[in-house]
Amino acid sequence: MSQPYRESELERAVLNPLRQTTMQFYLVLGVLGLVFLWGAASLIRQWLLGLGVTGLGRPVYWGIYLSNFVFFIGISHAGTLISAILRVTQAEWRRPITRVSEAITFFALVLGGLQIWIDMGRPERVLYPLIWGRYQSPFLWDFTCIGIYLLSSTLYLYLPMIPDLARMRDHMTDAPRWRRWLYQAMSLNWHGSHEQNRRLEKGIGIMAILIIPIAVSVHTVVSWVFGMTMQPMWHSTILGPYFVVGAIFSGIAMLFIFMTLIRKAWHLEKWIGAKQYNYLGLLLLVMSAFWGYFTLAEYLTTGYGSLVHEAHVIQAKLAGEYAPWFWAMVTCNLIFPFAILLWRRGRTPTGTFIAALCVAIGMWIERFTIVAPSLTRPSLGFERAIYAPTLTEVAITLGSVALFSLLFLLFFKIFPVVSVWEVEEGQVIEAVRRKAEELAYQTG
Amino acid sequence: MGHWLMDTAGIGSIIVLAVGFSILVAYVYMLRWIQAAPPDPVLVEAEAGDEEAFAAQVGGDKA
Repeated sequence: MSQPYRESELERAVLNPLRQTTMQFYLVLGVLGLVFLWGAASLIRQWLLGLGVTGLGRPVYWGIYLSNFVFFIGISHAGTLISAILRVTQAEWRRPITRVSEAITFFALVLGGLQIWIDMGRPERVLYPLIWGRYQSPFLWDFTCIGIYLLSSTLYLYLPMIPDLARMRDHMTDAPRWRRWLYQAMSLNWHGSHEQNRRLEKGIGIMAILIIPIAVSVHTVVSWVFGMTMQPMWHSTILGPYFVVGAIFSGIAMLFIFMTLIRKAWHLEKWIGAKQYNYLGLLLLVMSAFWGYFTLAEYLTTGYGSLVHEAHVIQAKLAGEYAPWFWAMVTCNLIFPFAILLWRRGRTPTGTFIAALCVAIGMWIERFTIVAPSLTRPSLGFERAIYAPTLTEVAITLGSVALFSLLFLLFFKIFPVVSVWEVEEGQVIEAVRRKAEELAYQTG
Repeated sequence: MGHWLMDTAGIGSIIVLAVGFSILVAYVYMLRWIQAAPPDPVLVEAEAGDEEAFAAQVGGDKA
């Protein structure tokens, strides 16, 4: 007779929240749902009344929605890029956090794409680039890269989920019927044979290598949407790498935020611990330094050259009406991370969470200070303009953030938040390594 | 030809869709390849009723 299946401690921690729903879950769901509905209602109002309800117009034709687009596409690098790099370099401490980072990528890409649709003003305009688009336009390069990235990220999120889905198919027999059907369908007839494991590992390995250049191409092409125009401070060769560095920087910050919230809500303190916070904290610090270097290089070169149109924009950013935004960005992206993360005692869950929150806010401001100021002082013959986002734009932005969090929350109500099989595999590798060390020590 | 490809309205979206579709097909093939992996020989033989072979390989109680 076979023994009844006994779940491990990790399985209980990860699978129990899928079985039971707490009051706090409904509360968070309700708050996020209300904010999302506010955003959705504002979007419908914008569709009915036109883009006149926003602060957009001529010459400031891009504003908060484009900032959101660049921000969401940026944080999508959390994800896949970090998870892929850590997988390729075989960093063992990555195992409990890869699923979260891969999910951030997927939902951030969906929300990023949605911002362009919102920015177009009317829903049917989404078809225009398809009908009228010419491939000489960087917008279509963007469509190509983001489309490939979305497909690849979906697969990269799905592949490591297959063994866990099979586990749920076999052991979560008390789940509702639709969920059992879902696990059955998505587990792809997984039986865990030697050959199937080998093929899965090979598939994950291929995707991990493929996704790194794809992710870099995505944010480079996003920067070219700006960089290929002749607007002051957009037409810069450094914009591509600057965007990529910013994307990885904000991606790590977002990973920290979600990782810490999930660790607390799912009680995963035993698996997501000091090692992850220390190493990722150091990575965030290094990216902060890189971001500071690129910012200095960009502003010093432009400021020293002081071409007429660029001088106006840089003046507006450093000492004009955008100065509060600019200096808030520098404080959030450089001063706070360094003040908190430079010391080992700062790289705690609370310390890193605060630093990450600062970076997430700072990086959104960075996107805004790239998009808006250049258009208020365009190089073509327009008068100077002022751009101030309206309540409609703010509501849609907050609604988008709520939708992002909502999708994330619902996804992890159905699927396990930690890659159980990978963590277990890591535990075996660690045990073997310790045993080998013990033996080596004993035999001299 | 190159100029026509780059500068004709509508061709751009065909390029985007063609690239996206080829990649989608490649990914679906990868999933099917993983799905089609054979089970371990021990299980295959046990399922086929070759109980002696199964006992010989796992070296234990067939039950």
